[in-house]
Amino acid sequence: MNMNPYQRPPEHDPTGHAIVGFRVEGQEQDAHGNWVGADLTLRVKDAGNYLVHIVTKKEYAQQTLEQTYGDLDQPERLLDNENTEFRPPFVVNDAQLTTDIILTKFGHRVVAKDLAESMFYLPPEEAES
Amino acid sequence: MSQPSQTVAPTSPETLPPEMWEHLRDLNPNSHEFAADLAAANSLAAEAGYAALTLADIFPPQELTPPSGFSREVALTKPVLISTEQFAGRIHSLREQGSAIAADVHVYTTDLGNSIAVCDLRGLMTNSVREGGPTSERGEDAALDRAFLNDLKFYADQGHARRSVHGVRGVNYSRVNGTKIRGYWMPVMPDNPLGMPLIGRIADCGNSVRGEEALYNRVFKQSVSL
Repeated sequence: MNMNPYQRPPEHDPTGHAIVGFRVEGQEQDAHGNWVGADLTLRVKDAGNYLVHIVTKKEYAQQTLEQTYGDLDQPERLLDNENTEFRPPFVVNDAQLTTDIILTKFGHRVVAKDLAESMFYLPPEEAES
Repeated sequence: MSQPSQTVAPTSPETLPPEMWEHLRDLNPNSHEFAADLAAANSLAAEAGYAALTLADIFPPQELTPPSGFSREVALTKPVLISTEQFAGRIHSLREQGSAIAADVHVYTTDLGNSIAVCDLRGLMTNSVREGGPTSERGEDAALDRAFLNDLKFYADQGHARRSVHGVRGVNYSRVNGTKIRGYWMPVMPDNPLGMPLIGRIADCGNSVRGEEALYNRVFKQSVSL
């Protein structure tokens, strides 16, 4: 999938920082009711809060097919405006998600470049709870 | 639960003469008065050998060009009255504080023959929720609409939502892949008079003005930590 350069000020780059908290915002199921995706809010030490969409490899392939051959808009079509931010999902190799898998992958993990590329920075006024 | 009524042509020769039931068009289809008068008309119709009146006879729906994945879309001419009690504890951004709200309804039939209705409640939310939504200039709203219809078809054909909001019972969302664009929706009124699932669109957030979490907190005012 083609994507534009990831737009992010250097001070909002979470790479190398530790995840100190996370929250599941949404859960995604396939037609069989398997948990195959999730939207997470991550709290990253000394970097801020971020939104990331995670998805299983199989579900990611399915979504890619839908975008390529179906009627869903490819995100690139929305990139006319320089303020539009696009980030790919963070793909996991597991067949489906579980609480333990999410805990293992995101609990106190140091953010690597591949994960950082999938993370949307949330300005402080957007992360209020 | 009443039968769906989106396929019968209005005022067929087999129904009662219109002058005997036209007054029903001035009534609220959710009211007891409407139900009583309709029952009386159909009792008379049965005695006289006429076909029973349906909602489609009284309020002929407007046929629209269906979106991809659907074989039919009709816009009902009468709004559905929705009790606000079902939003208590879940949706905190309704502008109106009364016991019920009226919403226009579109009925969709999927390519697999499953029918589902949609009412748009987004205009009934507070201004703070409606601001920061997907914009038309950037094509965000059209992209979200397509994502929503895709999820609507999934819900109608599979019997469950593809994406559900964690910690808020019964609320689901659609999203545009790769972006923060989200649209929240939920089933409303299981016993609605349409005889099919009724989905309410609640609120949307765009990609660059406000984050998903800000809208989430404004609409649901709730968060659950894992």
